[in-house]
Amino acid sequence: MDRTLFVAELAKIFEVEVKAINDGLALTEDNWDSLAQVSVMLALDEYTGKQFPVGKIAACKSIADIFALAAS
Amino acid sequence: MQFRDPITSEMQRRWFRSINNSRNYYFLVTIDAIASGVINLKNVDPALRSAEGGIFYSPEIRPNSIQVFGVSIAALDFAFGPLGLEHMQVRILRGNRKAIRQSMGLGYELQPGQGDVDNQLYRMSRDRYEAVTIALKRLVATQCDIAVNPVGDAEDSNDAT
Repeated sequence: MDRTLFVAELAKIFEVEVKAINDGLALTEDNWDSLAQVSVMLALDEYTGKQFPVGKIAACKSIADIFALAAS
Repeated sequence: MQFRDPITSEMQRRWFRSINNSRNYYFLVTIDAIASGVINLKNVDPALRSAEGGIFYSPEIRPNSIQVFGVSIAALDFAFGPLGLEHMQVRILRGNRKAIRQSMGLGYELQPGQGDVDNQLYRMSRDRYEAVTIALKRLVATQCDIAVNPVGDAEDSNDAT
């Protein structure tokens, strides 16, 4: 999966337009539920080839944190 | 969960007598060795090969996202596997966005005609469940440590013979 597809997948997960997927998008109780978290885990697995522990995913507070995990 | 009033001991005993049979399966959920909740398959209909699911977590317990799905997958694998069901349904209060999204993540779909219904009906087939949860099951298998154990004793079953 390339970055464009990864960003598109994140937009689908958070039910926003692609342009809304930026570092500033906060992950709150409203959009960071269990479905969003497992969906991001699956997307990260496909994008990076790595599985991240659920604790690290749940600790993300913004899209920036997700991108940081992807780059780690 | 539709019923939210306080429950007396007698109500509890009466309820248990009503569900201690082969049409109802109740499982104690244990997460990280702590009794955390109950998940059930109720009103099993052998002719229609269907049942209704339900889940309850102790308010003190906060399962993580993988555990939430892992518990449901354990019960649904039992329903669609050894129990041989073809359909599962759940009822979710309109407005319970978290439960709605979790259920849809497993494959449940809102049924037609639920617009004016508060306790809305969601259903899914075994085929849909298998298709929707392929990747999720792989994730759960590597990251989840839960146990789902049956509650009740077959010898005390209220099944008519």
